[in-house]
Amino acid sequence: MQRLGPFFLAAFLVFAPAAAAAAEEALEKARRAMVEEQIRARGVTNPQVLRALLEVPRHWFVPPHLVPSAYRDQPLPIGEGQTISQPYIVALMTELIDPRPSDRALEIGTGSGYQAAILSKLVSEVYTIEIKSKLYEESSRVLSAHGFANVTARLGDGYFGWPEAAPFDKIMITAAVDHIPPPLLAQLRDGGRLVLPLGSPFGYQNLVLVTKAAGEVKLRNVTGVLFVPLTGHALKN
Amino acid sequence: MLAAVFFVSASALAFEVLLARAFAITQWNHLAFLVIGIALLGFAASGTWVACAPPGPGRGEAFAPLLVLVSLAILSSLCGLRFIPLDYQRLLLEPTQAAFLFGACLLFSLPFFFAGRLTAAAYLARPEESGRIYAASLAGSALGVAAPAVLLALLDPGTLIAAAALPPLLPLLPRPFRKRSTPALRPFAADPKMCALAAFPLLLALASLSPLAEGLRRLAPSEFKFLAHARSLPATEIRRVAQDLRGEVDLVTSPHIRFAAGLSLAHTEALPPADALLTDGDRPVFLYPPGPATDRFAARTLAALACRIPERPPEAVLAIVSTGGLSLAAARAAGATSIHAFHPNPHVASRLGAHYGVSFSSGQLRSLLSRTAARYDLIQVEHWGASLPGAEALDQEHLFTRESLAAMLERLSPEGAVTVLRRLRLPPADTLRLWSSAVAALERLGAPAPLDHLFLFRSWDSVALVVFRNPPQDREGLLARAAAARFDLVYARNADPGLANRYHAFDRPYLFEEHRRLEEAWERGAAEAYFRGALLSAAPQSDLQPFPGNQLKWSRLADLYRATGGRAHVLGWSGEILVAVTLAGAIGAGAVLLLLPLRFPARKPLRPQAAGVLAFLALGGGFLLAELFFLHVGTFWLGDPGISLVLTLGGFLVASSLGGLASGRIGAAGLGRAAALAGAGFALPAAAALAALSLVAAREAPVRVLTHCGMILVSGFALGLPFAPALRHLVPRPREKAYAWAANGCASAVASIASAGIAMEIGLHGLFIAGLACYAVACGLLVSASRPLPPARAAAA
Repeated sequence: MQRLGPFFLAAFLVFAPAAAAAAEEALEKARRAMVEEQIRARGVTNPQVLRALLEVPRHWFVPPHLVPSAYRDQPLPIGEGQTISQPYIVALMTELIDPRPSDRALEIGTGSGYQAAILSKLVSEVYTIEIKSKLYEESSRVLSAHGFANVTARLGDGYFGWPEAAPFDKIMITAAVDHIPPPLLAQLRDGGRLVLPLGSPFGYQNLVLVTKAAGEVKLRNVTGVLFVPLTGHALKN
Repeated sequence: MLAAVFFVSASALAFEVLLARAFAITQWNHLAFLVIGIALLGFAASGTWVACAPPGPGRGEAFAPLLVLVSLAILSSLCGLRFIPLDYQRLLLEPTQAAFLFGACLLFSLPFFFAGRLTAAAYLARPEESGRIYAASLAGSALGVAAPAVLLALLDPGTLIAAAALPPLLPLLPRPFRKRSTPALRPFAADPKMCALAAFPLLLALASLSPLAEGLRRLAPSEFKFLAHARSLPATEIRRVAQDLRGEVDLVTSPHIRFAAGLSLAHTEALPPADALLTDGDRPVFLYPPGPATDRFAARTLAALACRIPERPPEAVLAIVSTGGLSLAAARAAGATSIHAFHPNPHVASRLGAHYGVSFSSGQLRSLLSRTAARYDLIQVEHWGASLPGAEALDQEHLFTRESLAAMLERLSPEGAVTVLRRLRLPPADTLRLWSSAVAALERLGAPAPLDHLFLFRSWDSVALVVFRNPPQDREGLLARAAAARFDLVYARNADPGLANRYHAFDRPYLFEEHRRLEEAWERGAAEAYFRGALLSAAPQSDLQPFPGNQLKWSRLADLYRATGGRAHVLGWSGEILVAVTLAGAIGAGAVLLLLPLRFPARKPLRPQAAGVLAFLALGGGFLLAELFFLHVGTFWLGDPGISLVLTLGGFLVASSLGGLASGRIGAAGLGRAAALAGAGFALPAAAALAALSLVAAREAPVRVLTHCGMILVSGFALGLPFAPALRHLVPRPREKAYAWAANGCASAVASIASAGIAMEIGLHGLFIAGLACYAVACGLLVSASRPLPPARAAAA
């Protein structure tokens, strides 16, 4: 048995990188399939958004035991009663805010950090707030580890926005609220866009796009969604 | 034996009342129809048991084990309430909820099953003492109904349920603490084994009442209720401030509670955090901190839009707060000089009054409106519903009926207005129903052009119906103020469509278009045809059919499913689905209970007379339909379903038992007449109740209570007449008696659950008609069943 030890070690050194590479390739293939079948096929066509979704590995942002499921067409639990949103919803919300390279964006509800990572590929600066400390720490670690340098994270109550960094060109709320937090309306630049799931935190919501032009705020219904409540707990499966 | 019957009856009925209270906390409704159905199925099952396995001649069932089983079953039910994750709102989302529902119903029926077996055993063991047994059962039941009504002010339902497990064990107390009573129990009392048997549940019951078991007794509200959400918020304090038969009231203090229904898009300041008063864990009423920040915020809500009608500040405001509290904050912000708050629960009303420094009332709104001499510039009805949309589908609510709106309109000053603030729901049905109820109310008051009195505005999630006593002179000013506040128009007579769907845009101006269609139909005299063709129920609500949350049309289920984009769960969030599922379960369970004695024991299956069985089915169904009819009437007159449950249940128990006692002289030939008397005894008070429904509701509390009790006593007495003589004369043998008991119980259980659907779909008069029909059928069947056979057939039999 002892004579076989070096053999196994050599085999491991030879095959482990190959296995890891194969696994990465499989995940990349799944990511491409996700973009084609779940996102482009459903009408999200902004090329920059699609490229960002191809570039940012979603499996970096899910718990290790859920990596095989990272590219499925569903939200996934990330702990603390929160979820990482379904890929299509991430894509849809991102396309709705029409991100530009010069934009400054605010995200309320960092969660896993995936949405912030997507935004970071599309805008100049991303500010993101998370109220749950464990999620804040984990998402900050992942974002930092993978070089998303233009993302600034904060632990706090996103209801009040980020007044020091305001105004924002784009604001995204990734948890259910039953009314648009007025401070966020105030921090939205004229000409800016805000997207959020609006409705009962314990039922289904409507994805809503808010626009501000010449001081006038208007609201447009997009589609029905189901989000976890802001500062609340998730609906169980 | 008499003590055993007394205490078991007391425990069983107390458990029944407390179960309704427990459901009100853990679910979204007290589910009285389901609780009564569970109890009756349990009793029916006891009849089936005796019919299948009757004790031998001269041998009674052992009482002591049954006493122990009743106690253990109540304790098990407490555990079930605590640990079975039942939430009927998720029936369509989670198929396992169906299993939880049926499992819970089975578990909760066990106390009644064992109680029924004990009572049956008493009758079988001592038929010559049936009168005294009957009296003991009646007295115990009456105590069981009355005790929770008093004790709920002191103890929570979980603790009382645990305490209800103790009385059945009292007859088992060993000598020398009780004197010898009947021979039936004497041997058990002296038997150490029986004392040991009683010791186990006694210790369990005492343990469940100890401080260590507080977690077991604390009933948890649905995780979708506001209270469950509040518990997850940081820096939040929750304190019980009141509890009684009406409910548990908690005060939640948190920096994270912000309620902003109907908030204008023009408001950009942070909202002031509010405290919340919760009833049974939900239906929040918010207490905003006084000050300029609250005034600025409240001035930018739909509630405030109503306060600016007309432009001068309203002098006298009546704020009817079912949930919310914005109307009070907005009235203060508008500078109203006299504000009166109303909430059905006196504890909530008093806290509202104290917090906002206003006068307050509670109880029955119609009575307040009829007795007050005040004339209001504004009556705001604030009713945002439960935290989970659709959870109030089973609620009986008289706020939005045409009679209620008419009563409010009559209390207005000439320029005054009633506003109704509600959540916006799609597809449009709720607002259409409000609109049509308001038109019906105005027609009752003789308004020549009702549509000129009406306006509907909305924000993203809220609507405000404004109904003027007289058409407003400055209509254009009102529309301009709404636009300036960034609220969209939903309805105004001949309004510019450009005012709709501007600030809160849907793909199409659905609401505006649909209200325009309804208006056109009304003007053509084709409103009825419109309501028949609508996807959801939108016809005006009346006091006879006061279920504003009930909008489902079974005939349009497939269309609704398509209209919601295939979201089956949207259909699941309706009480109608729960009623349908539980009705199917009750029918299935009843069928099993009726078929079993026809098969077992295999050597001697029962062969009951069909007419007799049908008669008992009709009697059982009719009795419960009558009882539920008066339960609904009582909910309206007394202003609270819990109070109505206790009075109706207790009143019917006492009255029908007296009727049973008085029926001792009714012979076989008189059975048909007894059923006819029962039908008449129900029909006359019920018809009077229907005719005077709104009139009595407007009277003082003593008149309402006495009228309700009087009708129950008359009806209950009459309804108690036919059952006992039918049992005596139609089914002479014990097994047949037990089977008749089971049939009666099964029909009652099914009728109890069906009554909820009948009341929602047809109205209270539907219960009246169905109950009367049951007694008509019973009358015919009893006449037929009691008719002596012709000699030839008698010889063949």
